[in-house]
Amino acid sequence: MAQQDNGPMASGVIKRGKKFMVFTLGDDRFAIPLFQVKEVIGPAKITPLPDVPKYFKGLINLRGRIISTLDLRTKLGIPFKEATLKKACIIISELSEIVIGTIVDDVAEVVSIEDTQIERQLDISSKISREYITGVAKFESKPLTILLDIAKVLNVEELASVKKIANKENVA
Amino acid sequence: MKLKQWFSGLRGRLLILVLIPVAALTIVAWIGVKGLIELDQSLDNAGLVRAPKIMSMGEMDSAHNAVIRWLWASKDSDSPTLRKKFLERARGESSSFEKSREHYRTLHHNEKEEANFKIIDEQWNKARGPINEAIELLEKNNKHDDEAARTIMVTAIRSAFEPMEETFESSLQVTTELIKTSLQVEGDRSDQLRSLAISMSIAGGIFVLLFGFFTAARLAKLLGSIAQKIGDSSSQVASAAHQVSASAQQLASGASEQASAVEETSASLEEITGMVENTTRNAETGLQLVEGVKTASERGNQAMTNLINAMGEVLASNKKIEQLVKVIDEIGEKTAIIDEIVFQTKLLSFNASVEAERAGEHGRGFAVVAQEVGNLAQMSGKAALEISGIVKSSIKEAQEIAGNNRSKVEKGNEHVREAGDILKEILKSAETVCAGSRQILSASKEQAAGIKQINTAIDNINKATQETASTSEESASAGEELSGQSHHLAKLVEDLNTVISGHERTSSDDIVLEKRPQTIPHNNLVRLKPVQKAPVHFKKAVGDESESHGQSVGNSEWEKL
Repeated sequence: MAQQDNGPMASGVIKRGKKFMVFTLGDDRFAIPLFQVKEVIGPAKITPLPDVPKYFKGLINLRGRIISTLDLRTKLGIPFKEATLKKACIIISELSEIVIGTIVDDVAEVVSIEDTQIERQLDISSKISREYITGVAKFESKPLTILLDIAKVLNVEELASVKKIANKENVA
Repeated sequence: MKLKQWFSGLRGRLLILVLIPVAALTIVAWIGVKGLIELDQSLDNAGLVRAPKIMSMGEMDSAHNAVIRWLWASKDSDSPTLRKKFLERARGESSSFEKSREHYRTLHHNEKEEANFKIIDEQWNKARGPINEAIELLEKNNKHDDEAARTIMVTAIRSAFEPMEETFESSLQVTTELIKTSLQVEGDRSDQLRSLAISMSIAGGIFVLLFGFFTAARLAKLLGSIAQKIGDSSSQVASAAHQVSASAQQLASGASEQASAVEETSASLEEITGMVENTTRNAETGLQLVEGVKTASERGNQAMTNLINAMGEVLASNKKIEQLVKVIDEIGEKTAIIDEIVFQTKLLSFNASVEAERAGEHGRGFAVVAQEVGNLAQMSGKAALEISGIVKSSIKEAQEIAGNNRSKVEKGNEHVREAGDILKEILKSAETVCAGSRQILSASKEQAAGIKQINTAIDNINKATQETASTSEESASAGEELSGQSHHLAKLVEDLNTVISGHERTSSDDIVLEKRPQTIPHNNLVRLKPVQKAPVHFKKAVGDESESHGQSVGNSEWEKL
């Protein structure tokens, strides 16, 4: 119905760029490759765990499967904003056989981003460490979007500990 | 009481004056009669007691002498007839003695007489035997017997008779003494009676004289004082008459003043009547105005009530607005549900996109659909957000409007209430004013009636004033009359004094009486209007007259009383 009207989207699809899921943390837009996303769910009951890093929020029950969840905002050191927490979504990702939930403020859209749109050489100052950021996507009518590598955001040790916990939980 | 009445006053005094000499006379007469009776008694005593005693005693004396004498005579006579005759005589004397003795015995005696009579009686009893014996002997007519008789006569009879002789003598002496003393006593008594009667008469006379003099003096004094009092009274009456005349004069002037005052009052009353009429008119006008105010305020009150009702309706509609707000709120809630659905749809579209990506080349069409769904969800979300915003602002505005309305209505209600209270007060005041006006009206009407009454009263006062004027005239003439009467009274007093003192009054008094007023000038007594000068003149005339009269009477005439 509105296919012709949504020019950029349609062109994005036609141009066959890589697909990214865009989400927001505070005022900033972030995007992760769509293949890293297994599922997106709404707010769920999180059971907190003792003696874990601050960004490790707890466990959720997703259709009988126990999944560890991280607060990306805490992890990336972005200041916490109460008002934005309402519509929080959890992006479920499968990373080297580890299924993990990442809590974001809001999932905005799914977009195809051409390589031409991505700026790899980053001189832009950002609070987030350069290693997670793969680049910045530019849009004609949208703010800049930071491209994240979720696997890098959660480093190996962390992932191991996460896995351990997850396993422990699963065994229990 | 009656007796007391009889003896009180002049009548009593006169009665006493008559009664005292009568009583004295009665006493004197009684004493005299008593003395006469006593005298009579003592004379009777002398006649009936003493005389028979003396007679009997004398008879006895002569009898016993005669017995002896006849005895001796018979002895001495030789002739038997003579002798017999003499003896008979002796016997006769003897019986005569006894007769006298018996008679004497019956009479009243004193002790001495009794003693003497006892001696005589005894001696006679002693002598009787010898006497009879001598008589018997002498009857025999012989010498021997004669001698014996002589012996008896010499011895027995003589011895018996001798004490008798002495006794007779002493008895006579006693009786004579008694009569003598009795006469002496009677004489003394009659002397006493005489002197008593004389002294009583003199005393009575003196007493009557003194009492009469005293009573006459008292009477004269009494009448004099009465006359004086009458005189005083007449002078007082004269002065009273003068006062009456003066009062009448004052009354007349007062009446004229009163008349002018009444006239002034009448004029003032007319003015007052005008004022009261004005007041009545004003009060009526005021009443009408106030009635108008009352109805206006009542209408205002009604309007206020309507306004209050309207306010209430506004308040009710405000409540409806509030209800509307609730409805809008509900819409907001429903919008939230839509929001949730949109969110879920979005998530669903993302998940669909993820699945399409997994499907690779096969999922490309599905990805487009998912994209479309996501777009729709986003649009829905935007719309829902807009609706939510609109709802929120609507609610806010509605609430604001309702709140404003409420507060305004509340304020309005307050104002309306205040206005209502004010109107009520106005009504109340209007009613009070109305009542006041009515009272003023009724008071004015009453005043009008009162003025009418005052008018009639003033008419009455006018009449009364006229009557007073005529009455004062009458009083003046009455005063004159009184003056004349007091003069007449003075004359009567003079007459009375003449009667009391028994001689004509001195000429000075008469002059005084003749100087009596030429009567009060009747003409200048009472005139209603020109009252200023006459009374002074009148007063002087009356004053002089009464003064001279009073003085003359007081000083000369009554002083003598």
